[in-house]
Amino acid sequence: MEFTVQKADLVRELGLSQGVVEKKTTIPILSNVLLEASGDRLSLTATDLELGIRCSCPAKVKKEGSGTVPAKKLLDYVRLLPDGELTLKFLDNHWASITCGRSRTKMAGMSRESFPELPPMPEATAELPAPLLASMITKTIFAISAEESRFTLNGALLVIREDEGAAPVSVMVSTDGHRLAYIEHTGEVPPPKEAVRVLIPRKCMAELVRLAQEAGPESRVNLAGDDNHLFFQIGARLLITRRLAGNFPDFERVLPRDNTQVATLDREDIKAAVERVAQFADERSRAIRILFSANEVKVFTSSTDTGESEELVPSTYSGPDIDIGFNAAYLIDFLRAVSQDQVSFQLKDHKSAGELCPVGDPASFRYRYVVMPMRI
Amino acid sequence: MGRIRVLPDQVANKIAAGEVVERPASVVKELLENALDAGSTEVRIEVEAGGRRLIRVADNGCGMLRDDALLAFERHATSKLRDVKDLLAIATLGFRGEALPSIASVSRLQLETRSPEEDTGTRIEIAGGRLLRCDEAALPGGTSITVRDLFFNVPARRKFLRTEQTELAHVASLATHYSLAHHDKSFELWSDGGELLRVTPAGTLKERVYQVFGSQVVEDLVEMTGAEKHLAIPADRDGDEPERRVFHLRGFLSQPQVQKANRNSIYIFVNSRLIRDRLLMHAITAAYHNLIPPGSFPFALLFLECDCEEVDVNVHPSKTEVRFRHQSFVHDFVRDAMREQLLESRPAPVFSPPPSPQRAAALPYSEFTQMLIDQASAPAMPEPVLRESPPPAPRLDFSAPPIEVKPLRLRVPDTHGAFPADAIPASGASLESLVDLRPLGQIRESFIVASAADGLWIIDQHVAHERILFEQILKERAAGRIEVQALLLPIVIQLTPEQQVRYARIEEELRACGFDTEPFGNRTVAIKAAPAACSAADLETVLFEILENAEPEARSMSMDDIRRAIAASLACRAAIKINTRLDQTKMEWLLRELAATDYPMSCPHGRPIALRYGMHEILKAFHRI
Repeated sequence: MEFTVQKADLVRELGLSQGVVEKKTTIPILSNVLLEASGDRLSLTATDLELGIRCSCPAKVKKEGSGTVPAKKLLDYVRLLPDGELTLKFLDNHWASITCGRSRTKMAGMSRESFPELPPMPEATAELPAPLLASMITKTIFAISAEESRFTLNGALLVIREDEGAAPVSVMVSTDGHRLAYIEHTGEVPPPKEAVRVLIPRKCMAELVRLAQEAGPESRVNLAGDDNHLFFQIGARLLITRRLAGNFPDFERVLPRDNTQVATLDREDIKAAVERVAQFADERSRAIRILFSANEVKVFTSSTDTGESEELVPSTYSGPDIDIGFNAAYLIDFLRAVSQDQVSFQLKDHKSAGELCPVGDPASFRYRYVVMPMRI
Repeated sequence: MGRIRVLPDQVANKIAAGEVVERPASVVKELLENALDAGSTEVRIEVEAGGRRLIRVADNGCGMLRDDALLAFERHATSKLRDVKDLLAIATLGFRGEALPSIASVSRLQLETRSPEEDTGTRIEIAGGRLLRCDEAALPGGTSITVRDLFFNVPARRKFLRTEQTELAHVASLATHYSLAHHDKSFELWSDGGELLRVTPAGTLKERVYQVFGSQVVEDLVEMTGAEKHLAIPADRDGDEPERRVFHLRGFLSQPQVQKANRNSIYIFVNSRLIRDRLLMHAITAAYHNLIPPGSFPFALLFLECDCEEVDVNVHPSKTEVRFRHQSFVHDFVRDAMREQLLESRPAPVFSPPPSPQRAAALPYSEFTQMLIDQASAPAMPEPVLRESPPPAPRLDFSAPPIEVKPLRLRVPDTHGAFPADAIPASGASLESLVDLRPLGQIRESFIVASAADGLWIIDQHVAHERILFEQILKERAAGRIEVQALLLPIVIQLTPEQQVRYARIEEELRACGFDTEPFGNRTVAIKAAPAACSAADLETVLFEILENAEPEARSMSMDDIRRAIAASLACRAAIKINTRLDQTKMEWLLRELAATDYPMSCPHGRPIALRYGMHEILKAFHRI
């Protein structure tokens, strides 16, 4: 195999594969990238067996074929080459020879045969705008459990459905058992061929955001699935992930219905207040207390070990006093993820789940964040 | 003719012998106790062929008058009891009046005794329970009993005897125990002409422990100088003064890094009587709870002294069991006294330069056994020697400190200058010096290496954090301020029937510790809230672990134990794992917090936290001292 490619193209596509390539080498071939030249394109494939990516770039192919080289080493080297064209040629012993200007390099590669085969993508079942998907992911990914043991919560649920007579709805939900992030868009996706309800693993979500950003604001994501895999196609790039087994919890039941006490606050104010008070919260539990009273919200904590701190934030609140405990980290996660100027707390009492929402969004967009209180 | 007959004495004695005289060691025990009861200060034991051929116990006690000597071989004849009231307060080791006739009925026995009140002594010979002769003889004061051919007339018993070495080991271990209990007396044990144990009267118990076990074991021990507790017993009737009973406990405890696989290294003496008692055994295990791993045992040498009325030794003929009148009081007293002592001393484990983690694994048994094996492998016949030479030093000379063999070293020219004298601190540093530790870095992102004035320390980051959290959780629990995080969706877990029983028992305690759980139908439990420090992902595991831990010793576990078990599970889950990189501030924080804990030497599961490579060892290793 022999081809010539623009350095910038190769660096860009290799960069996308870095998030997928296995870092801790248990199986050596997984730290390699598969290079395949055919027609007038070079395609690059990387996988860690959970997640796989296939992307491509234009190339002048002199001789078709394929081979693998260590992905990180290749990127690190190519990045340092001068801009312009470079030529890569695989030798008989699986080594790759790279020529660029006056640079000559031979890299140890591995046989293509041992590289895992990625499944082919079936017909797409749904389509959605890439920026929409990216925004849904960034607003939910932080609520995914980081622990490996409860794997059904190690991802977010994506639902695309079309109720009869209504516009199609796309929903993404994530939870770690203590809090839940829910985002819903109405009408921004074309009607799906069939209803979608899939669990997307956390690592895949992070890669999707990168791919969506790389692809630009106009691009679309095609979604498909087979029994074991999910496929996301963005332009010429394809991300394949193994499906998460198991059931996502019944989140509808968790969304509060009768949280009638509403306090509206300035997002920056409450965020700064929580961040400062949290410095004096217990290091492990991060517990702070919030006292909602007329026109004012008091964020406070006191600990015999570290000291005490309190902040007053003006708010529009007229309900009865509610003194409720929360994990400060959970609140900060949300307050950092929203961009609106104002947020609202919706409460029932100090024992029931609290809900946070950004204020002033169109009816077609709903972002809800449910946090369970702490008993302190 | 009637079928029921009264058994002749000889038969009755043989039956009694079955209970009392099981093996040579039991004979030694009975004779030794008699010797000690007779107020002797020197006891000499000789055995041949593991005690099968000969057992001789000679003392310098009060001896017996001739008439008494003859009477002693009657069943239930004793000088130690007079009426039934005495049974309630037994102050002597023996009291049943069964031992001598029992032993006499299964062996050829010779008794030599002289009381100071008589001018001449008495020699009595009995074989198989029949009196052969009784003579007047010229004898020194005291009593000497020689038992030959044990079980010569009971072939069944003889067959069940183990090898000579095993029997000898039993005798040896017995003699050791009694020598520990009576540190002011001298003991000698000879086997086939070789000396096995020889201890001279020692001023303190510590000296005796040193004589018997040697310096290495003593280093690993914590001395309990004496704990006392009074128990007030309410008067039976009005007008009577309420009685006060004094319990006194002293002895030696091992540091937590000494861990034995069995209970053989626990010696309990109640009023100088060696006993095996489940109650006290449990108290000891409870004292080491959360200090050493479950399933391992400490080395302990405990002397419990109390009023004779408080303890009933008349439980079994072999007198190895006792019953306490106030069981739970004794149990708690022993547990608390030991625990306090352990907390107070805070000893730090050290790197032992020669790697010998199991060196005291089965003392004294193993050393004796080893010695016996050595003896067995020695040539049976001594080699003829022309010149008289001093006998080789016995391998185990308890009375003398071990001879230090200094390796021959070439003198190294001192080119680096002398080491400042004050750089060598007094050894025996405790974990108190954790306070001025300076972390240097991590080994494999798992162990913190730190330097201090007294040497180099290695700290296991996971267990260190575990200990910090454990105490924190217990404190929070005690203060009732537990931070509880409610769960979005209750976690429903399925229990086995066993776990269901456990759960029902500890439900309240779980709630107090922050687990809001609710029975949810048949053998199903819904967790609605959990301690904030416990991540939702770990909840199920933690809860099952708690239920699992509550199981093995279900009946004996107190609520306090359960509380500690819960805290231990939570702490273990929440603690920093190994293979975690820590930055400098985090390490400093960890060491500071560790130093502030009550018990920074082992984690709640009993693993050691910190190891010290003392300045002394470092200097030694570099041949500077």
